[in-house]
Amino acid sequence: MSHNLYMANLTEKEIINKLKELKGIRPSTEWVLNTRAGFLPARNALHGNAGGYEKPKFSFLELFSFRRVLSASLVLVLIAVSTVLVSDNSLPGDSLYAVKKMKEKFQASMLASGDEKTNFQLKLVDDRLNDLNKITDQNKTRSLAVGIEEVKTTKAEVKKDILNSIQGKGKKEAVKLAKKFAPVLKEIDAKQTEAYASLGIEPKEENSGLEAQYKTIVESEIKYLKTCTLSEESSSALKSAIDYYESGDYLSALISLPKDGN
Amino acid sequence: MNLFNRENYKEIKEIFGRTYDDYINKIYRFVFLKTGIKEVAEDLSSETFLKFFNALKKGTKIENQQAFLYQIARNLIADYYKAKGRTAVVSADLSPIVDPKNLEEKSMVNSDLSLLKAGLVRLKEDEQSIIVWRHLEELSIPEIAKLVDKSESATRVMLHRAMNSLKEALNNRHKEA
Repeated sequence: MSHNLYMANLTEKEIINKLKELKGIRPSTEWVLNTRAGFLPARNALHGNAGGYEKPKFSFLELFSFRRVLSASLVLVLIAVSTVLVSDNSLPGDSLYAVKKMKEKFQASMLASGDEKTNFQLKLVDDRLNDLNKITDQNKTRSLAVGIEEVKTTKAEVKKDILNSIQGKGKKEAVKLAKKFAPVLKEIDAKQTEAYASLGIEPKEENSGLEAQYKTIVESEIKYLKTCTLSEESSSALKSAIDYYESGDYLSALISLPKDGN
Repeated sequence: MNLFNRENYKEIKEIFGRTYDDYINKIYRFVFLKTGIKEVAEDLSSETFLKFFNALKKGTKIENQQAFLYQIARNLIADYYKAKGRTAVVSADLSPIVDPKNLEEKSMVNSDLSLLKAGLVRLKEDEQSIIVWRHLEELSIPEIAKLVDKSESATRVMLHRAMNSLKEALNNRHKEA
């Protein structure tokens, strides 16, 4: 009897017994321990409390066992800290990469939302692009798909974050924020295009809404600046911005916009 | 209110450590059965615990940690499929699921379980969840009722329908093959 037929003829009780066998699905012990270590020692490091060790209440007779426990704890802390540090060099697809990501997520969670967090996330996109370049350099073809996915996901997250911060602000503040992040986003786009070009692919991204937001801001700024008296230099910058706008490059348009408008 | 300070860190650490040890395998298994990809299961499981950690840090009152963790995991899985525009389809020829001792048994067991897993991923999300909770994690009906926010009798009906759907999915796979 084929497996398919056998499975199709199972009774409910037999299916339930088979389902119980799925309990064999478990994460690797290494991942479980590394992830756990990624949470707890990181906090200790933040407060300069090496090892997070808390002085226990013990009697003189317990001194020997206490020393052993202390030594074991220190060894465990050292292993955990080393794992987290070593994971910094891991690439997508490596076993320690999950620890590196965990550490990054933890660091992000410790930052208050706002510019500081967005800058951190922009740095992560840059790191993911560097990871992808390393994967290419080291010819780790099996990790390529994961590396590309990581770039895509991290970039989508930061774009969403920037969009949220811009949308929540008044017009003046929104323009200021959009201008602030535009050069970094443009730099990331260029780096991504270069990294993808070496792989023979083109960056394809889902519409995050940020592009539309930038378009609206540029449109509004151009409209306003056209009503202003501009210096020769500013007029030239505005013309350049309009050219970029018409070609659909809203980031470059925003960067090119003149500062003055009297 | 951020309650994450030196004084209450010990308490947070204890609660987190205990909860992590109790639920990490269950949450990983739950995510893995719904996504079928080891890396995604690792990523979403750690994200689940990060959110739990942040909730503790903020001083959120969590009455039912199990329900809290499963709800986070379900939301993250939904976000994962939504963000990627993926449908929850996992092929039957996945890497080995469990690791029995002898080779013949290994081949047979993994083949059975892969078919069963492929049947499971064809079900609706709530049907998958209820089957996993009842028959893998062996939660009681009252516990599941809390997780799905339904009465115990409605939960029993859901479970019965989910098992029928699974049988039908296994039958359909046979017909397709």
